[in-house]
Amino acid sequence: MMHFLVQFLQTIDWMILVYFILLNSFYALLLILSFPELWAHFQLADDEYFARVLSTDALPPISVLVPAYNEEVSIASSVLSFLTLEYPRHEVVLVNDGSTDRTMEELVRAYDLYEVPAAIQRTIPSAAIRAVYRSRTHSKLLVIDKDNGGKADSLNAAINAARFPYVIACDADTLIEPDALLRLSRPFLLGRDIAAIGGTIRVVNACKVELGRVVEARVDSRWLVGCQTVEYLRAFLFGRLGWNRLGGNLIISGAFGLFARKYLLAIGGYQTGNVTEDMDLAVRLHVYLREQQIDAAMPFIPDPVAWTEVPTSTRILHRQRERWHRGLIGTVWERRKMLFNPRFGSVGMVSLPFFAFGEMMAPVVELLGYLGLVLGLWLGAINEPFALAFLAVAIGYGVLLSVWAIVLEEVTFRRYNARRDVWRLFFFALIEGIGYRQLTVYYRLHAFWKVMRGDRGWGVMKREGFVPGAK
Amino acid sequence: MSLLLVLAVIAVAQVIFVILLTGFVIFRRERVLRRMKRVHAGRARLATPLAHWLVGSGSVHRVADGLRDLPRDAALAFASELHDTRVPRELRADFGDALRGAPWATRAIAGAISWRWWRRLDAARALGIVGTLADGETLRLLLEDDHPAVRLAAMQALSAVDHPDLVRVAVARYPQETLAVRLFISSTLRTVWRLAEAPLCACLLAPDSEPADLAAWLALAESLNLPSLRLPITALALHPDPEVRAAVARALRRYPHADSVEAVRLLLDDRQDFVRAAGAQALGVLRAAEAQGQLEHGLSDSAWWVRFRSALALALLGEAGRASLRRARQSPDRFAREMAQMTSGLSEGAVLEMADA
Repeated sequence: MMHFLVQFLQTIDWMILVYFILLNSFYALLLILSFPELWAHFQLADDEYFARVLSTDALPPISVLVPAYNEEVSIASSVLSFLTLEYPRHEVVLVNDGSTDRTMEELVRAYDLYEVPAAIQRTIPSAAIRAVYRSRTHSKLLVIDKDNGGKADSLNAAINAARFPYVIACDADTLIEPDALLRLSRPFLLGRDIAAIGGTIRVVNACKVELGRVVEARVDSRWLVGCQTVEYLRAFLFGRLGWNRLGGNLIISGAFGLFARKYLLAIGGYQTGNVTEDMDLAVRLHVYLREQQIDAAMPFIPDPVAWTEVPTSTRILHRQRERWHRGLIGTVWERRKMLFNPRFGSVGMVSLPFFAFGEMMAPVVELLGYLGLVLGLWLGAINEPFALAFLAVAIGYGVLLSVWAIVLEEVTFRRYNARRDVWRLFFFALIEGIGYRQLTVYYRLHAFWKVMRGDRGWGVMKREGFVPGAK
Repeated sequence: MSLLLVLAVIAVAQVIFVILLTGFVIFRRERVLRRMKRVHAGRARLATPLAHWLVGSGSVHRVADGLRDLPRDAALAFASELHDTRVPRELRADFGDALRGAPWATRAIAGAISWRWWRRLDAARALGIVGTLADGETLRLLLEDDHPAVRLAAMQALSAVDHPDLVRVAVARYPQETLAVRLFISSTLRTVWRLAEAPLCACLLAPDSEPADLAAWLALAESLNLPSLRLPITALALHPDPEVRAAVARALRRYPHADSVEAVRLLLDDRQDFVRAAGAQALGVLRAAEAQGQLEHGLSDSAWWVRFRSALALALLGEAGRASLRRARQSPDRFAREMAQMTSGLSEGAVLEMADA
């Protein structure tokens, strides 16, 4: 019996070692692929030249879609920040998703809204629309008041109502940099047919915010927020850029992503049953483009920035990560027939398998690794120095990737001006692998449990609000 | 044991790498800060000679000397910024002449044949400032570059070079570009409209043009807004392709003339709803009071966009149009009633903005 157990543990350990090598080789590939991408974007984004080119009237008009639910405190200033984005022509379509507070009253008061007939072609089904409003003071603003149906449902109502050929989905509590729309539109000027474009999300906690704008980027000194800051840098600066080269960018962030409206209408908009609607949408868009043989790109570009608040407590982080992972499991499960299916090109052959085995299964493998390590050491089944060296290399590799992300940030966009913030980033990159990483593994494992129980809820994301100075 | 050794080596390599990367960040940060200080100081020193030259009391050569003191890429970036935002059009030739021999400009232009696209981009940008007719061949190469950013920058350089053949190439290639690039090219061609007029006229009158190409050239004609193009545009109002007819309606918005109104009124009876919508929109922009009856009729059209455009057009016709909308709010026709109600609350600014969008 003991012999069998030892054999089993050794087999598990070898499997984990192979998994580790394969996964990290892939991350290294993404990192390498991200260099030329980042360089190209840096060349175009670094100076004023393209900003001047972009501010011509050459850009297509864009509808900014903003779902809002119980945002009475910040809605007026949020809408103002969307209305004042630097872009030649855009409108803001705000959807009040059946708020139970005074969001709607606040909008009517702040923007002098008046009711107009709901003359909207409802191509995508959504919850019942109660009323449609226009503003006497801001002709760019359209407000839809509808029954509660969730974020995806609100976005679907907004897509129906949008006038312009491109739409950008934003969260009401996301701060978009004033020039972010201009930067996000750069691929249009580079002559590409665009289905979707993703921009970067950064962590706003501790940043200095004035009038809805981040005036000074800072890194929060709190452990939980600091680790997430490094995590976001890593995910956006090389993760997604690397995917550009592989042609299978599967995540266009729901908080800040631009889409061609015609393709959204063609695929029926957002799926309301999915807890992470953004990944699901990107996958369906890829499938649609592939099936219709449309040569439209879905690039990620790093310099347009939106700022979002991340959880400051483990309780909220738990909910968020568990929900994200539940969405990933749901999407992968729903699209399992695409896995390794050459009919779906790089999405079927590379992206989805990576998300299934490299992302979705990662916490399970990591748990097995920890259990195997402890049991193996206890039973004397594995060599102690080897196990510890392996653990050190695994954690060290994570640190190295994070440090690379910081280097990429430093040599390109350098948002963090103070030396103190750079040191903080390094510090959090060093400690992220111990404690924070294991926490997120636990949260993601919890997602498997919830999926098995059939839980489809969102949970509540409690926010602290933007602060005018550093904490 | 050997595997353990491999792991140990990897771990040590990781530590060394992290230390090296950290050192690199610290070193680079200091270097960037020093360079930024130098660039800022150089730009600040340029402020006085630039102001003197712009008001006519100084020499452009002092500005050129100041730019020479900046690092090469910063000199190009600053010269490009000055050229586009500060230097008035009538002084740009002097500005270009003064900078022509500067080492940073010569080196940038030499990059036109580089295998690195960002060097070719710099060459196109430099030509946009210091380019002359003699640079025609170089600019033609850049206009046909593989990298779209280089092509865009070369297109912008057209206004500096004023080369008729290159403008002809740009007009001919116009329909092959995507919409956003076309709009960008239009804005550039507006600056060299004298050279663009004849080739565009020829394209519009060519009997064997593809409808899609014609629609694109009509959009360019709308953007250039040159009186000589009105007749060729109006001549296409009866073209068999509806996309072309819609493009005619859109283009004629910019050509206020009795003939334009007549041509567009015909399009209001078109079989295709998007042509009727474009026609209604054009009549509003042209303030065609004589079409009021047709626009009132458009409020009951079966297509939402035609009703919407007709309502906005009526709102643009002044008091008479507003009175039509007030009457339509009592109309037994539900479509007309709702559309009139929706648009009658809009302010004049909002109507103007939406009617032209």
